[in-house]
Amino acid sequence: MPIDPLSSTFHALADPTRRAILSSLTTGEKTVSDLAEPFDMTMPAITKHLKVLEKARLIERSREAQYRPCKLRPDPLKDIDEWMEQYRQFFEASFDRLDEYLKQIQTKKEDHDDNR
Amino acid sequence: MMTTDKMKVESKGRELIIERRFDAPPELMFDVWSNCKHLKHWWGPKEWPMDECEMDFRKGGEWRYCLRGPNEGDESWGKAIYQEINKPEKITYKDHFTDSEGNINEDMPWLLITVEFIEHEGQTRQIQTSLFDSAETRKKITEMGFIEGMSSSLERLDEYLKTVHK
Repeated sequence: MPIDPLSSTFHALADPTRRAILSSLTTGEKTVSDLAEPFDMTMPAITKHLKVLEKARLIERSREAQYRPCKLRPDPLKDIDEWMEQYRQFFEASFDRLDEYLKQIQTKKEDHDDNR
Repeated sequence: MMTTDKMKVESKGRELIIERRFDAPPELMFDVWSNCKHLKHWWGPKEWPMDECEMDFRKGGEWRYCLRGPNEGDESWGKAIYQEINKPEKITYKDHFTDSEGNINEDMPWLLITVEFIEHEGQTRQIQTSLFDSAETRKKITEMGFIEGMSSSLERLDEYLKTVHK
């Protein structure tokens, strides 16, 4: 189920450009070109960062206005439970894989027992 | 709390406890947690496998890793610092977010993780306890300005943004 390693918030925040974008949005709504201006970045590069933030539900982009201004959505950051939930998903996904992996290596070991 | 035949998940306060049974002896469980060769096969969700791994497995040693996602540029670097190692029963480490150079990202929370392996009828009960640095986390988030205040570094950035905005 989790697409990101820590499904979204952590990943979104792990990048300095995205943190700067969020910081800049604390002063109010901004358009993509407003946001792109201080960075030495192309519009597609900024748009990519915005998509990550949007997916993490840290920002909202208006559907109505032509310029689709961006707005901060602080909710995902409010509660430690959110963070714990994301970690839980991360660990559970890893442990499912570990289960499979243990099966694999133990079967192999039996097959090649004379190697040991 | 969530319980299945194999797994039990419990969160209390800032602790998350995941207990799970694996069909392997504790010695092997300890090995798969303490060696990149093994960890590469299971650490991280399928869509975000661990791509890079470097480990100095001893008390005070570091485990540096990078998970890469499905889209270009999706990556997440981490660094664990081992606090206690007790073969084959217990591993305790502090997990941090870092940049690709291994510098700890102080804006992000860290976790204190303890994994214990308990032999049970030829299998292993793995008990993983994650202690969240929640007080710090809340403080950092608050400081970062998402809720009310702003950290001085972000304030400076904000000032800068204003100047370039004319």
